[in-house]
Amino acid sequence: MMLVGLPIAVSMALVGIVGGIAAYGVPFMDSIAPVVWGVQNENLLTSIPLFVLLR
Amino acid sequence: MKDRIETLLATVFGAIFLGPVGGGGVRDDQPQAVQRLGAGRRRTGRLCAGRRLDHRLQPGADWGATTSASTSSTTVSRAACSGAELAVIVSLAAFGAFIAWIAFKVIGDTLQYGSTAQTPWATPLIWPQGVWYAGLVTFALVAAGLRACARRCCWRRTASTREPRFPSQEREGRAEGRARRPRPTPGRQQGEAK
Repeated sequence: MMLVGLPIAVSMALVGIVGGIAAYGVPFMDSIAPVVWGVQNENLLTSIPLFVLLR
Repeated sequence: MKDRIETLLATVFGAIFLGPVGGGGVRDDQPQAVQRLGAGRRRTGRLCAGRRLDHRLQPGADWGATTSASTSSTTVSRAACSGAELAVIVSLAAFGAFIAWIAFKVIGDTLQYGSTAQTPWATPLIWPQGVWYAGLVTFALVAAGLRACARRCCWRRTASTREPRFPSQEREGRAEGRARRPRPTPGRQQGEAK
């Protein structure tokens, strides 16, 4: 997917979502959004893009 | 044995990573596959020059150019260019819509339960989540708009009877037409004046 030109983040997310659904079934979809919110709400991880924007 | 492994790894990973990155770094001592990819990159780089979204399509164009050994490599690479571009844009739009749809469940739960942060201030979680969801919706809308633009471009190319051309080729064609046009000689000009 990355070679075709899809952004790396989207490629990784798609692989994770497809793999999770294949492993755990449809109920996995209910846990995607809380995980996304939890990761994006984490102060330590939020500082990385903000640091990149600093430069 | 060690040399063999190094050569194999250089061939595989060099072909995957170095080829799409650019042909400028290809050297004579690199494996043949890498050199072929570099040549394809240089060839399609000229083809796609001037396209609006050409930077997204260079890898797909590379594969199309390197896998075509015939004289019709130009057409194949152009088709691969368009196909890869369209696939990427559609995938991006689908992913944006999916994430926006999934994230709405969190917003719904927050609104339903009136969730607050586990801090002394007990900030309502809908405030940060509203900003978060607005960002996701913006991403989905932009991706959908990009897809709509891409489809409109495809329709325009399909409806056109002539072969689709890139803007850079249009400019080159106009320049060639101007160069081929016979310049009026001074004698003829005088004759026309009479």
